[in-house]
Amino acid sequence: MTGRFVTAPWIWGGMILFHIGLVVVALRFYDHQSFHLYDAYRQAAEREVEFLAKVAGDTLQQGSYSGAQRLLAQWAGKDPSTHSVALRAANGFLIGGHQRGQPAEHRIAVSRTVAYSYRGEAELTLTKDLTPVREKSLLLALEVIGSSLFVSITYFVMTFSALRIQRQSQELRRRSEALNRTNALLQEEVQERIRAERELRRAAKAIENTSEAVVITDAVGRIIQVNDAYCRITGYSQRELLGSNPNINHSGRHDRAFYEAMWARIRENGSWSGEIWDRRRGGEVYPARLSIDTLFDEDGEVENYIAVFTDISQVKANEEQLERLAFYDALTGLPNRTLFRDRLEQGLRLAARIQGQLALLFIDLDRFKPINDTLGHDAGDLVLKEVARRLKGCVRSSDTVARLGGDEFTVILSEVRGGEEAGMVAQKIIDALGLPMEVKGEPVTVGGSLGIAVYPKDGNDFDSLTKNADDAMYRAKEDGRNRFHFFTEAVEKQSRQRLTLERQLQQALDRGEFVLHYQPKLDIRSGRVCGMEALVRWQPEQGPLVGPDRFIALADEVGLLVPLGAWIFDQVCAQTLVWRAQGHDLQVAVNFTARQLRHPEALAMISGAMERHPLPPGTVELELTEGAMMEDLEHCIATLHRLRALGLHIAVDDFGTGYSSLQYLKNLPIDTLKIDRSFLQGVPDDPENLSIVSAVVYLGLSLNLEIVAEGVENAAQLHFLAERGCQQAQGYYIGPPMDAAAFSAYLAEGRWPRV
Amino acid sequence: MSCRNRPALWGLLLCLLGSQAAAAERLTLGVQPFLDRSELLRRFAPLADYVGERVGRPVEVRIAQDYEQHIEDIGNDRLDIALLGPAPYVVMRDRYGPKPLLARLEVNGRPELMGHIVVREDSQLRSLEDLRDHGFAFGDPRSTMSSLVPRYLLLRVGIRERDFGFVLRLPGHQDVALAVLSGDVDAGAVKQEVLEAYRAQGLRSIAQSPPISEHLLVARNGLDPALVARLRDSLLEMGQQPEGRRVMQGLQPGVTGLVPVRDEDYASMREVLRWLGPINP
Repeated sequence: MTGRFVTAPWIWGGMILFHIGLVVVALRFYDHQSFHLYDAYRQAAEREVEFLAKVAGDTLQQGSYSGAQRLLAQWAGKDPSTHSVALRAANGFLIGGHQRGQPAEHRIAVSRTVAYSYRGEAELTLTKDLTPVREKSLLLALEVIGSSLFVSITYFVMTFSALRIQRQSQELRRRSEALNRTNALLQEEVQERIRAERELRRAAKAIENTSEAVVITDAVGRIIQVNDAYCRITGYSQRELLGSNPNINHSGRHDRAFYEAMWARIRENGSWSGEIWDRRRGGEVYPARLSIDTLFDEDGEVENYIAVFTDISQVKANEEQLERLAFYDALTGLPNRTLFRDRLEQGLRLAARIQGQLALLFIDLDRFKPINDTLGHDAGDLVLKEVARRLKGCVRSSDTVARLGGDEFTVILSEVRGGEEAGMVAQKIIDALGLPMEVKGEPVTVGGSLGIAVYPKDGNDFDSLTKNADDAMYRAKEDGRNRFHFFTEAVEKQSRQRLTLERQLQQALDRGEFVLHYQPKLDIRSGRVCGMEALVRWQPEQGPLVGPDRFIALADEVGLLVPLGAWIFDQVCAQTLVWRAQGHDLQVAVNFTARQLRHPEALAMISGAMERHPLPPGTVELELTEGAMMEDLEHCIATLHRLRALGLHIAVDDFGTGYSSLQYLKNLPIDTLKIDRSFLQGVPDDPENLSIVSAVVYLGLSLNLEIVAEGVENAAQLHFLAERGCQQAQGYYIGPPMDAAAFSAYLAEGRWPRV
Repeated sequence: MSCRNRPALWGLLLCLLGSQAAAAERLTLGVQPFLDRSELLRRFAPLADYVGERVGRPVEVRIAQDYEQHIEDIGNDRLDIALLGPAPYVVMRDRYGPKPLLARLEVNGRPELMGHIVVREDSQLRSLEDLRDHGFAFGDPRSTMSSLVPRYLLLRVGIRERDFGFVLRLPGHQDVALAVLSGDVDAGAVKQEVLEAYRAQGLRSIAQSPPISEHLLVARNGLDPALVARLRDSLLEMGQQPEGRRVMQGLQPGVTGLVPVRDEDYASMREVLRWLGPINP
């Protein structure tokens, strides 16, 4: 029954007719949809060619045929669906264009006439490759035909295909709209930029004095202002930079994405900051901390970008340097006085908490000064390093060994059981220091004197404990060195004896036991003695002559230096007046300490002396060490200016051993630099000292300062100084310190060497 | 008295020497504004550094506001070293007198430029006289080869600008070539390289200019003669050193050397300017 029905001819005929009908419908459907697709594509292409023709026309209008060439090549290269672009002149000449591969079988070509002034008229042709689209719709049609074998499926497939095609054409329409929108946005952006450029106003601010580099650009990134710091850091001059783009500083260490992210952030937030690698004009790459801000005008448009940055390579280096200098002794690597104080205070707190004991050892080297003086400072440095090494070998790693300066060391023994244990360590140290060492091929033996103070017995705070350890050490030294002493009653008695010494000093002043010696200074240019340095000595009633190094510090400590200074000043002025009256054109230099400089009566004392002794301005010179000047720089500058107003000259003593900062040479009112005697050692053979002396002389000449070389000991040194243009020389070769009578004879007999 | 502060003192001395070097007076290298500032700076800063390093003085690039200012600055000895084109050179020399000459550029092995008057291959125009009443394209009015020299060639056969049907002024030599090939004008003026580049597409020369000497570097009057000699030597040696060649290539593509220069080399340029009469360079 069923079989008959299926094989019935009318069914077959019907089915065949139905399928033929389906194929026809499918083909028509395909035609229809293809037409729509083509149409949509054509419309998009028309819009594209119109836009392109307008831009190309504008470019040609300006006479830039080569610009139009570049534009077309770039345009065609951007979109893979563009098969070719061609701009042909009226005579057929191809002005510009681009073709991708072989001509496609299915394509849409659209043309526009590009009219530009003069008599030119060109034709712009844009060809879009439709092969992929064509293939896709053909496939759809085949699907439809194939599916006609199954009526029911065909229906679904057709519906489905129709929907897909419709979606595609919608998609296509959407894309062409998006293209239009992009074009519009592009135009808008161009307009915006032009407007921003027009509205650009300078945001010039007082930024020249900041040490940070500042650069201001306009909205499109052209530099309109930079400060000096920017020029200094980048290496370009202001003239070179104005009008350029800051990207000439790019180091090449960051990729495009980095800068794009940076600018995205600036556009979003208005600012960016961070660390960045830049490159100087000379090519050196350096890290910088950079922040960029945007300035907007009243309409909210970008007006300027301001970038501020610092070269942080220096900052980083400085921080490390500072850290090191602040807490550790540069020579031995041991903790310095600052860190020592910190450690001791910490140790005391700990000892208090656990109710334990702590021992503090003060160590002063014996026979160190002679080593320094005979073998030189570098030998002394080697000895100090070796001492540091040995000290560390004598204690536990939890104990602290510190260097307080010079040949003074200290050891903190935490958690000791008592004095005996500290004594054992002390003996160990003395034994270790007593072993000979070899320095520069010479066998050398130093020893040490130790003072011990124990917490809590000998003191329960930093000050009392250190003072008592120090006193104990003095005692050890005076008992004959190479031994240790506890801070006991006896040591305390010893410290009372120091008080006695203070009284003796006071008496010496009252009784006139101080005498003045004078060391001549030679004017190298004229070969004549031009002045002298006054040096104070103490001649006790009984006993030998005492040098200033023995009593100046003490007098300074106990405040006797001001009355002593007044006495010295009067003596020196009076004596100088006498010699000048005898026809010697002499200048006299007097040493002055930080304490004296700070003393409120210092000015009154000096101006009194100057009034009593009518000396011409510039006759009296004050010698101050760098350290004395640096203690209170501001006050010092003010005082020195007043002293100069009184007619005094100011000299920097021992130059090169202290801060040696250009800053103070610039800021302080000084007339003379005295090169420290240590730099003359070995000159003219020691190449390092030779360079230092040459350079200091050169420095003095450039700053218009008088240069005095101290410690001149032979003719070769004097000759070398003369050659370098050094003005004055002082030292045993010129003449030793002499009392007034001897100095008079020296002047009368002309005993100084000839240059 | 200790020497342990030596590092501090050395630091001070280094500072001092550094500041002395920085204080050595800067030399200036003047450039005429033929490109935008950033580009000029990028191209000429390496030359400034190269020369500066060899004469031991820092050199700073200065870019003039315009050509006239550039000529005035050179003439009044406000620039220590300056680069200038053949025409500005002749104008400067005739207005302010001689300057010490350093070197001229050699491009693709030749220290001279050549210019042509060109037409299309299929054009009926055979000689300069034929150009009357036709359309003609010049390049930038400041350009030697696409403006000054062609005007001179035309003047010599009695053709002035008003004798043309119309005249276009286009930005560059390439634009002139393309305008001629497009038929927008009947003839135009281009330099030799551009003629060669477009010959295959149908460009033909109907007249050729005399050779015109290339761009040159001059020094300021009053500059220490020893320094001038060092400057000249350092420039002339550039072609023999890889670094020098790299710096030269950066100036302009195709520069192959810096070669000796004399004022006589600019006789042809001077002749051109004499024909053109007083002009703005």
